[in-house]
Amino acid sequence: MHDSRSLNGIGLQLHDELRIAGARCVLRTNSQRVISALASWRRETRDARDGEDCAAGDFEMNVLEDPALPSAARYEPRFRGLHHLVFADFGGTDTFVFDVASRRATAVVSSATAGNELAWNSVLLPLAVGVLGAALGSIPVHSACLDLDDMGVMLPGASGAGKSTMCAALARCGVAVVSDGWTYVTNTADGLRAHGISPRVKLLPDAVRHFPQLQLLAPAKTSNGEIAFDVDATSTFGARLRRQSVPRWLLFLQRTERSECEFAPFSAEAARDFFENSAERLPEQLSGAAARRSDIFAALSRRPSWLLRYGCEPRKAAEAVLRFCEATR
Amino acid sequence: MKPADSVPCDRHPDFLKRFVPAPFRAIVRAGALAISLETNDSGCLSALAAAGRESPSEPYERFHWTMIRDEDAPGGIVGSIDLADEHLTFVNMGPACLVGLDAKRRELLAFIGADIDEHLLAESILPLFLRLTRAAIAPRSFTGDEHRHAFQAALIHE
Repeated sequence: MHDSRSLNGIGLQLHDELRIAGARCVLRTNSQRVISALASWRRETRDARDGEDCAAGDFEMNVLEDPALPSAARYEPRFRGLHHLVFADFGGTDTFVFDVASRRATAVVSSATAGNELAWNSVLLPLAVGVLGAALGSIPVHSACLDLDDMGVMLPGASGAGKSTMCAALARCGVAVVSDGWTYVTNTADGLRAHGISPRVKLLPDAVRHFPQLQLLAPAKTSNGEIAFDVDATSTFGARLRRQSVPRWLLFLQRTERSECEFAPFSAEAARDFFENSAERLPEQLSGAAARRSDIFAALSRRPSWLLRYGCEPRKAAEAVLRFCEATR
Repeated sequence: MKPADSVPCDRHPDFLKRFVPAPFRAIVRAGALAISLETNDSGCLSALAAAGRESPSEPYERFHWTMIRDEDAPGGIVGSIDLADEHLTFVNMGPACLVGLDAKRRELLAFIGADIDEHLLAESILPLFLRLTRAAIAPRSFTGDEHRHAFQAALIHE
């Protein structure tokens, strides 16, 4: 089998302008399905819902729908990258190529993927902004983010630190959800903004102890290969969804064996070290993007930061966070 | 409260395998091309050297190749999805062979799976890479046999 697809000289005649995670996306495609699946990201839709926002940067996304491609069995990407190019392959069908230096994504997708809004919102758009983000100035940060009266509570932490559990517990307390695993941070004339793409929350199977809503659901293999509940925070926990917020608190999460919830001051240097050290290394071909990312990490790290150690029941920890935010707002 | 000075994190993850060391380097003459090759696999150099011939004296065009032997990509070649967009060309032949070419920057970047042997490399993959490279600098078609004997390993060092 050898299938060639050239986007040169063929008509990607459908165009749209999207606003995703603070970045402006010029979309070109041959597929009405793609246009429809991404309609909620249209610039006028976004601006009306979230207020006018300075775009961090532009990127192009050229998407070819190929009806001959089979559907991806699972949206489990395999990534590879060298220099400024990044490849993402979904089971030998859907294929994305990113030129990070030129801020361009090129993709060929099956008809099933083209019209799959959930796949775009939960996997493909986070993938695109995650790969291109440093070049765009919309920086992926390993953090959940919630919105408390237009003030953002960011919850950075390593894998297993409890970001998703705390995010779900706060959502159950009525706090609006911006993002779970990854938050995209911009710094424009409007100042720092924390953006989310997907309202989905991933919780490990043992989370069912704390969240009875999960009892009716079955954990499944997620896009990074782990077994987890992958749920929509709005429908599962009744959370309100916000697409962006202004970072006000940085609460770095750390699990502890002790049944407690303790807040300790965390310096700007320590916060910056966390962001820099947990960020993906970038090659020398992307040194400009790396410098821009460092500038945003530095600006974000100047927000008030605390280390939150908790080992108590998530509901109690969430209530402690709300009391803490009320006392320090 | 005692100030905290650090928190555990996943240090500098290399999700994309961008930083696999590629210590083997060569400059390869192939007809009107001078390819500077970087790789982590001396077998790739052998495959090029085996396909070599006398270097022509004509002027040459420079191109850079990076070939990474990917130990986490088992299996062989399984069909092909090619994708071209302006100066970029991408060929996906399954997990064991991914290649992207940037004509503007004159770079070819490739991941080759662990199970791809030197014979397959010399007979199928390197000819494809050469065809893509030639098309990038002077678009025209090449026959499958044209590049088989077109390589010459001019300089190999670690």
